Amino acid sequence: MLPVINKVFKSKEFFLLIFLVALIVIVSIASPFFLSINNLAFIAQQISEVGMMSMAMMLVIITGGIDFSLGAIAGFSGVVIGLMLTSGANIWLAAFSGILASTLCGAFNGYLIGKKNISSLLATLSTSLVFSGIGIVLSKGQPLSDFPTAYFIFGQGNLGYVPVQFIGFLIITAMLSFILYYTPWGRKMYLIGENRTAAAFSGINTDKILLHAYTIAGLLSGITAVILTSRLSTARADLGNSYMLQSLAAAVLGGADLKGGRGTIIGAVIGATIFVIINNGLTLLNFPSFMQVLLPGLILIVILLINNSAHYS
Amino acid sequence: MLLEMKNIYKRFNDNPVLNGIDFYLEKGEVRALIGENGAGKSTLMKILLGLCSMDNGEIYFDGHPISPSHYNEAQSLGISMIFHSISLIPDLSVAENIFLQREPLNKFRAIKWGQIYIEAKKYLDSFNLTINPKALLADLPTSQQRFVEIVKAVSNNPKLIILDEPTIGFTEEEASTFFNLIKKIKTLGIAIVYITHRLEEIENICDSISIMRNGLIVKTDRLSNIDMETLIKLMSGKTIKERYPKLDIPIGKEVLSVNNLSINGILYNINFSLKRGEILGITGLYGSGKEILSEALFGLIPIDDGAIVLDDSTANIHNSEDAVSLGLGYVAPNRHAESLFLNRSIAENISVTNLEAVTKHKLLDREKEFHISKMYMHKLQIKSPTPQERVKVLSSGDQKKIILAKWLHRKSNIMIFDEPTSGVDVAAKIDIYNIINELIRSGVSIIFISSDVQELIGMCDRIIVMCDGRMVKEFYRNQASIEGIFRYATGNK
Repeated sequence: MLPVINKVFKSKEFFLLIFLVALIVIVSIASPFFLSINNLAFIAQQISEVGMMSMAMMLVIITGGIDFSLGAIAGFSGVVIGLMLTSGANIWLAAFSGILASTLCGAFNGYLIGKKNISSLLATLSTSLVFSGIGIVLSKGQPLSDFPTAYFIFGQGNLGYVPVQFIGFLIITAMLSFILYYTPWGRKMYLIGENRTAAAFSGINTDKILLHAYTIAGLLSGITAVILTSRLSTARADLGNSYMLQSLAAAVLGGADLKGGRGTIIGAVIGATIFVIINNGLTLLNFPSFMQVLLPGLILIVILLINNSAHYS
Repeated sequence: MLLEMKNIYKRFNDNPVLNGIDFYLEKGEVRALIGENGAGKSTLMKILLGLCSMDNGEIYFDGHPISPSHYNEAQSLGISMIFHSISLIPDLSVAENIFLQREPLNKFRAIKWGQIYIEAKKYLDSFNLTINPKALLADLPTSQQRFVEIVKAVSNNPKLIILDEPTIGFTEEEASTFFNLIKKIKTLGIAIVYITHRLEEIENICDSISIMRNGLIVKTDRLSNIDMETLIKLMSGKTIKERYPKLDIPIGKEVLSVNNLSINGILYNINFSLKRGEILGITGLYGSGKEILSEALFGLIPIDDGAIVLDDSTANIHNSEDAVSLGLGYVAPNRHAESLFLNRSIAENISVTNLEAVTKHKLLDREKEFHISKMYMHKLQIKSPTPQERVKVLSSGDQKKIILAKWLHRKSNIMIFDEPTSGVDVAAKIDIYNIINELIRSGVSIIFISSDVQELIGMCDRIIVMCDGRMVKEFYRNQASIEGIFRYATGNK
């Protein structure tokens, strides 16, 4: 048991966790409102969305790829949901259709990248345009709203003081972490990321595993779309756009290596949480809004420099 | 005296690598430097080239004391090295590579292209090489890229060229072209240090030999004063009775049959069968299709026509997962790119071929994985304290063993070995042959693909010769000869 504990203390995630705790302490001292129940609930809502996308991104980065279409998929999926709701569909059917659409989008990415061997960067840049385009056409470029109030349960509901989506988010986090660490399938994801050729030469069906990875990433984007459209009571084709780069930054902050084969789900979640809390803190402390863009960037650079120097020492 | 290296010491961390080496070389001498993996050959040469510092010792070159701290410095003194892997630029032409960074310029400082090609052709012709100077390097077979690299080195007028296992992956024909190249260089008065594991090559080209073991030079002598047996003994510290320990195993019923397998433009109507306990050799020149054949059998390349029949039923192999689950295993030729996950642990590298075997209730059981890996490490004498060590830090010999271990772990019925002994020293080669023996004794059948015809003759029951994507001849064990195989491989009959 001891070596395991030792490993935890030396891990990148532990280092980030310390950073996160320090951040929370600083922000809560600086702003008494930070620890209020309302603000914590708001933070939990934010983490559910950014965190979900970051996990999707992390999954793909572990396999040695990248997914630039996650935001577009979420936007497209949101439009599908909006259209279903405004034409009177049942809220569950609408949510299911949105998630199904996003999953198919992810599967299409996985097919191009696995079976057709197109680089993930080029494939997802292209498909993100396609998905956004379809979303704009379907919604005629207009935001969709006037959803039935019952639909707001997914993004505005609470269980006690805890937002509903946050509970869903925690369950998904736990499941994904478990699967990645404990199943042969999870191991194969890391091995493909480390060396795709060697994985194929060792009898791993790399096309299949990559298809799975991008499909799951699509599925998670769809779930994010449900949460987002419910919280904002609106759907737009560009709704997910701002989440793409945030999730990439969170995953990288959380220990993802763009060369593949490294990173954990927990890391992505901690990375996302750090970004959410920084943004929240800056707002509470009335910093000018450009700081919300600038500061996360600077922090990311500092952490990457620290990571790199640790790498070479 | 051209080179004097005196009393050279080097340790890495606490690990002594060179323990007081004295290495002398005359002008124009061709010296073979041999020793097992890890004996210190590469380190010694790296020190001479300034790629590695020494802890103690002196170096004199052409009578002057030198202490190069950079490869460029060594090169300007007249020392060049041809490394293990090709260090040319694949996207440039042959001529551009030869004149890289010293292109003839006109008065506007633009490159004189006409002259580059003429000069390059002159060099290539002087070595009797029929390589087009305008050809893109990447389009040439490895052997010719190697020749270009040597021509480039010679065109710098060096006094000493170091060659590190230059003939890896060469066929007999390519090797003989290569030996002529070396003989030509010798006539130019350039000294050569020739590092190799292929002992039979040494007789062809070297004047003298130095044998290294455990960071010491245990013997330096004229080649004519040393016989092969003493040489192996000095090198490995063991007496080796038989270089090819072929066993006589009763051969059973047919387990694999390949019928009319074709890949458009690459392989044509390949037909052969493999029986239980049999070792089937496949050889051919570069581009003969022998490399593609193994990848096609293993589901890595789709076949256009024909069938693969396993145990009397046609096998549907669409990817390597299918191949492995049908009982095929494949030891790929390229250690780093195709076979290892360098940043992952020994345990993870071994278990990969059969993850189900290290699960409990469908979940990975890391303790089980640890113990199974430990068992293989012990069996193959992989020198590392723990299966959790990253494969990256292991010696090349141990890395090669990990690749064997991972396929032993799969317990496949049919094993394809693709160049399993390239770049491996004599003692380790015999270890690999013994593993092959152990496999056939337990009922496994083997397809043994190699450019080393001698090892195929020594180990195989049958040998198939390929040429231009076709099977041109099948030899039985007692009929095969190097000359015979060579004749068919080059397209003669």
